[in-house]
Amino acid sequence: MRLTEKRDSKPNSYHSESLAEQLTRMSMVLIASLTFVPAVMAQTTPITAVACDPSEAISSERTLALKLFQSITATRIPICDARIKQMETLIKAGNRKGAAAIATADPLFYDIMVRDIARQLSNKDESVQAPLNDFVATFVGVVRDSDTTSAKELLTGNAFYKANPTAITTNTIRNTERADLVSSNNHYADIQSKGLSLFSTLVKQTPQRAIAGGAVVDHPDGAGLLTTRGWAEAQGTAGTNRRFVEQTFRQFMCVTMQQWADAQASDERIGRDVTRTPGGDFSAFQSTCKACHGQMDGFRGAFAFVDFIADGNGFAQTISTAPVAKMNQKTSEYPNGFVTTDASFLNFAKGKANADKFGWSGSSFNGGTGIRQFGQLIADSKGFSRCMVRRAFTAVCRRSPVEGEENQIRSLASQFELDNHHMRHMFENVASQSNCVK
Amino acid sequence: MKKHTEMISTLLTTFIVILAFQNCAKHEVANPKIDAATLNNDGTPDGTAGDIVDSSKADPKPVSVNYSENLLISMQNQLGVATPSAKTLAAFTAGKGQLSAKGPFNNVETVNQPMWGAITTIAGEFCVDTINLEKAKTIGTAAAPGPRSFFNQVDFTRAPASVSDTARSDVIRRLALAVWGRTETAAEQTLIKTTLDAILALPPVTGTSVAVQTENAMLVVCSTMLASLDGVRN
Repeated sequence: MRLTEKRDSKPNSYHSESLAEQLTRMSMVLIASLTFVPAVMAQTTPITAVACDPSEAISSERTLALKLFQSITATRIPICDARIKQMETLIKAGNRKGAAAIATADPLFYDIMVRDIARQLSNKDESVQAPLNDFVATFVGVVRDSDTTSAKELLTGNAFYKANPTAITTNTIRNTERADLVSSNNHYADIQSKGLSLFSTLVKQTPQRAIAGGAVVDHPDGAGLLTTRGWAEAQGTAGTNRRFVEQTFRQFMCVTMQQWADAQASDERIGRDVTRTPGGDFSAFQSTCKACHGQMDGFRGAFAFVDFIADGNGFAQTISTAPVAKMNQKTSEYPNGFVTTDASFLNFAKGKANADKFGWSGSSFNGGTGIRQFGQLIADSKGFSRCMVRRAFTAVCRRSPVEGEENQIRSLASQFELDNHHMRHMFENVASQSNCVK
Repeated sequence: MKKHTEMISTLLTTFIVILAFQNCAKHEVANPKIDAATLNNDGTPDGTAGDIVDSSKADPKPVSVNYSENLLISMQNQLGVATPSAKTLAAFTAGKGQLSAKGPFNNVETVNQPMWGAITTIAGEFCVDTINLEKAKTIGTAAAPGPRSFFNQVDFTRAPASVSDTARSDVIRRLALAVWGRTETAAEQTLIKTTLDAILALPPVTGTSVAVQTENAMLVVCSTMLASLDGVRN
């Protein structure tokens, strides 16, 4: 099969988890899979049977309208559907963006397309079959509420989305805070198993909540998706908390670790657990290990106090008052390595290799403290805007942008920024590009 | 039980028909072997067996098909089945593992035999749901269409022979508009009708009523079109 390019292939393993870490992570995944058995529920959004007129002529604009609707919602509907006819009229009037807006206003856009984008972002394997969780719900909610919520809130907002009270009562959604939201995914599993429309079910809730000192508390450092339970489970289970950084860049800057590796970056924050002489060769560290760890470990401090562990009620995101043990493990590997003592982080990804790629700006330019400031750094960058556009382009146009389209991506990203990072408008802008849906 | 047996038989037949029918619309058959179907987006065959050639060269969008749950949602919307039956949902649950887990960032561009099998089974169940819904509605005529979406002129109480050529064309056209999002070509219509005739020429399963035979005949048309490439393109 020969087709245009897909998503970048997954990076080669640049960091090997220990066997114990792998087993821990795998066992937690296994537990999660055993405790969550998704039932299949069909769409609950009202569906009306449409009778097409067999003698009706189909215009090219109607066909385009159907393709546009399908591209935006990832759902096929009859070509004689009223929504398609409405879009056809707008396309004939030269208002392609208006036509796209009809599709983005449809619950299917949120319930299928946006949900599945979020699902792919939510897990390390980037599987669309990942369960609905607070990460996915929050992503969908922010896109739905674009008129009042900037996409920057995805990485900085101290809020999450859950089912509204009516939906909880009507559908018997499990909703005990600790048992069903903080220490398990029960609440979202129920939303999914009952086939509820995310578009009409989700409601914003502030602040985020996590475990600290054995109790459920307001999250002291809420940072949108980065401090959801789902993200903590995916990226903070076992390991060294470097995955938080690597996956944040992968999902929200659209770069694999290899793509932003820079051997010129400072190594002053590289932890003690990273050998400086792999295979007895110091130069290998300088040319290979340092290229990733220099920058990644620079940022890692932001996640110093976070872990995802058993809490007696299940598994939860826990916040400590001191760096968690995995931040300073394997002290004998290189005793002179950096010791994490707080949640500060430094941005070493400002060098020549990455400056244009990320387009840093904002108050956290050089670094900061905690996850929210880290999220702010990412959200303020041009790299984030471009990545969101690339995500929308890849999803809606059913292909990744090709080399010659980079300027278009940048232009759309600038427009996105000027539009207060309005996600829904951005999707419409992308979908109405003439090289996207034909 | 007999009806059930015949249903399975019909679906298997449908599956065979679909395998020979994945090249509707803008596609041409380079080789009808589909067991490792390869979908090219540039309109150029790569010379391997099983190519399906997309002649829409101007469109850089890869040929891709629905993945996982959006297959279910799409079929619901295409046929207007608001509440799929338990059997349909069970078929989806059983077949979901055969469907691709890829999603918006990596389109499904390879379809293997188990995947087509799952799609066909799910499509078949959806078509059963659709026929059941349509049977409950008043039959119409060419001049005065009734409330049915697809089987306007089909009398489900009579033998397949009662379904006129005009009525068959009407069914194909309505399904094409809803499922494929376009009108069928003359070649496609001929192919579907020919296939349908061949199936109807087979001796009926002993004890099966003529009404069931009509139902099964429509099931073949519906399933074949819904599970064809243009029916599941994403």
